[in-house]
Amino acid sequence: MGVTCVTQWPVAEGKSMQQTVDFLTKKAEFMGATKTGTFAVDCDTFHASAGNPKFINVLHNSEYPKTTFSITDSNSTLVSDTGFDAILQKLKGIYSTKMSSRIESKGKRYQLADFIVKVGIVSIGSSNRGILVEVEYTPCVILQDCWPLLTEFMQGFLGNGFVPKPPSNLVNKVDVYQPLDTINQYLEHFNQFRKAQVPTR
Amino acid sequence: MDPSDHTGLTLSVESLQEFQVQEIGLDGQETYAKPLSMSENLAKLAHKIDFSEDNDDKKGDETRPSTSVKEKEEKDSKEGVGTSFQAQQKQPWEAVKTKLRDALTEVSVLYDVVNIARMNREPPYQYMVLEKVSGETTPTTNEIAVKLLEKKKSLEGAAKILHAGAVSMKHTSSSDKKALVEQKNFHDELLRLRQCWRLKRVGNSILGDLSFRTSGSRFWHSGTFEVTKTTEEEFEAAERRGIQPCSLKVTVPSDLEGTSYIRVLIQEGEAEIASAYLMHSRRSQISLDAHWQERLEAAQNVLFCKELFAQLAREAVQLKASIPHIVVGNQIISSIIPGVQLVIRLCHDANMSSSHDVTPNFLQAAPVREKNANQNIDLEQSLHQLLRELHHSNLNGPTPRPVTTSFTFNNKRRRLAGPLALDRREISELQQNECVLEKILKQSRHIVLRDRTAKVLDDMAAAIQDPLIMVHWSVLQQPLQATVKVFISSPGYEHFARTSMQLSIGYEDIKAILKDGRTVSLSYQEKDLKNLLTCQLSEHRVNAVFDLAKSLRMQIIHYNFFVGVGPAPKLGNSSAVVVATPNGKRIIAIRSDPVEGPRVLIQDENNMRDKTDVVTDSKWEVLPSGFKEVDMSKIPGRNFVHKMDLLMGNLAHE
Repeated sequence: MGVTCVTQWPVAEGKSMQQTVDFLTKKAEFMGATKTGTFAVDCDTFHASAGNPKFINVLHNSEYPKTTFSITDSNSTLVSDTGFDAILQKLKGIYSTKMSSRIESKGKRYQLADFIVKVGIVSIGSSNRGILVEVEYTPCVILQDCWPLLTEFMQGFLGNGFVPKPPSNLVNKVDVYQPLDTINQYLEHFNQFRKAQVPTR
Repeated sequence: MDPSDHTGLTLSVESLQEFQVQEIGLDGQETYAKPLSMSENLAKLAHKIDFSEDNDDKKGDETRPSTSVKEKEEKDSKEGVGTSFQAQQKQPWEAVKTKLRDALTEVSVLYDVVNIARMNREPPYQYMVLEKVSGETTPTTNEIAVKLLEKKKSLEGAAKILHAGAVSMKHTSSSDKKALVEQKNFHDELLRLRQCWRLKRVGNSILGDLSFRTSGSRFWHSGTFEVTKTTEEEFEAAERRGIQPCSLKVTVPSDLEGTSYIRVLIQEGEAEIASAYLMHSRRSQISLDAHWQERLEAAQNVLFCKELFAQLAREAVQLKASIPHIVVGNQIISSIIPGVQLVIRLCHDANMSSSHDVTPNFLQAAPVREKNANQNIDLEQSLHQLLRELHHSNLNGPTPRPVTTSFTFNNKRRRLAGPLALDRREISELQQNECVLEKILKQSRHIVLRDRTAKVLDDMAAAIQDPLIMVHWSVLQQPLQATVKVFISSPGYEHFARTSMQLSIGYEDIKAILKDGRTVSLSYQEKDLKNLLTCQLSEHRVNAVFDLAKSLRMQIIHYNFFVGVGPAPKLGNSSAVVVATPNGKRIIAIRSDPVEGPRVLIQDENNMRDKTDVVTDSKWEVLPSGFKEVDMSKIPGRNFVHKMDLLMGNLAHE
């Protein structure tokens, strides 16, 4: 586990989403990265029953196969065993979810030395919404120590014009980087995708 | 009578008249007498025997009960019926005689009955059985017959009991109450057996359990043995052969009989590097006559070896290795490092020789074992230990949490994998369990590495006298880790230069930590260590000269372990030191090549060059000329450093 940066990647003009993803993965392969399987990050939102505005976002990350991350509307978090899903099923009367609201990012996972690169297509139901690129630098757990390195790597990968900003909630974080921080980044992007209009193509 | 007879003749056969003709009627009709029933027939036959004739010898004849009963029967029917014409004719006092005889019989029977009642307190309990004899004889006669039969039977029973009693008394007196003692011994032995082994009673037999199931084994073999009492014949047979007899006998399953052991061999080509046996040394042979404890232990050992081998063989098949493990019959062959094989062999000796044959066999086996000087106890211990650990882990899982769950992870970290958000790599690390074979392979790899290191160090220490190599092995060693310290020094100058090096021998490679803190990883090849040592020796020489020069207050002009100029050495780097004498007149250069050895050169200051008109200043007269090599073999001294000491001392005081 290391420091991770998740960023959105715009679909190139005149290209489809899949073509853009292929272009990125080709680039990763060209840099010498090897494919190490696939990955998936999904998010289900459980809404409290009628009238109550409360909700829970339940996220899974294939990188942490035994774990369920839950983030409530009040931003309290829970990192638990996957058995938590079964508990939520029992609470159908109180919290319910719709399969159509599930948002997920799926794609291929590449490894280049200490970096893990994941390029995924974000989709809600069957409609694709955008591209998320995740880059993880595994040996380090302090954000400030490796952000420049991570930035440099991402510029090499995504182009010099790219300047990733550290996630707002992590800028002043002096603590050790947690898997939950990655999940928070994903959730932030997922929320943006949800709010955004469905792209024309 | 066969109708299809080939003769073609039809013969009709009629049975003879079976029934006697009772009367023939006037009309010629024959009335037949009814055929006699079995008992009637018997009675009829009995009439033909004169009872009084053989009455006397029959009375004492109790060894033939069947005949006597018959005869008695005959007797009573004869007497009771009393219709025999023979008796009527021959014995007019028959009735009186019968009465008297009955009285006598009754008295004697009564006496016997009393006896029986007295004897009957001990098993086997025998009761007289009154049986009604069915028959067509008249009730009165039948009654008498029954009585007589009854008496006869009771007589027999009494006689039997008396006989058994007499025999047992005879036996008791003759063999010193052995039987009783034997019976008691059996229970004593059983008690002792029960203290050491698990026993249970199934029906009338006592079964024991040899298996390791209670300690967590999951081997298929039930390991059941049976406990029986030694029969008298076996007891006597054992005594006759001069073996201490035991009243308890154990029957071990045939496939667990004999002795077996697991042999672990590390072979380099054909040569044996190390070997280990998994067996009790004193139980190299076990005989059928051995004490039950020894036999059971041997059988259990067989079971243990079988289980261990089965486990290893299973793992060998499952394990993926670059060079696949070979399982052939009772042998597992796997390659540790190129050219070196680990052979695990299950040896089973089903031969259960009797105690007399044991000695020669044992003597035969002894030299073979002694010859094995490189027997390695570590491997033997580990094999034993590893299976026990496996058993233990089978049995002792961690407490489930919550305690009501039936399914639990065998590892706390694994259980917490979710809440701790462990990533894929960490989880896969948790799931990797090392199996017994892998552990053994690692250990044997370590043993090979250790042996090779020791050999190289010893060889080099013996071959190289200047400087000296001293090797200190750490006494405390782990199965997969050994450390050795190597000191290089020159005798007499230990305090000047002392190059130390630590080798830590693992199972994959050897790590050498050098004096300057560098860590060098060496492969399993002996050459690597040899090269490293050679380079270290070369550096040591220069280092020693450097220290010596400093102590002699020489000026160090140049000191380098990695000389870049001059001919390239075949191995490693040349190291060099250049010193000047305190008065600055002489310069000594030492260059040490790992392969070629040290070269010492001295710059000659006495350059008597002719005075020229151009260079007039006298200071130019002492311009140093080129270096000249010193023939070190001509310089006296015990070793190189000593020689250098003398040389530098001389030059300094010139």
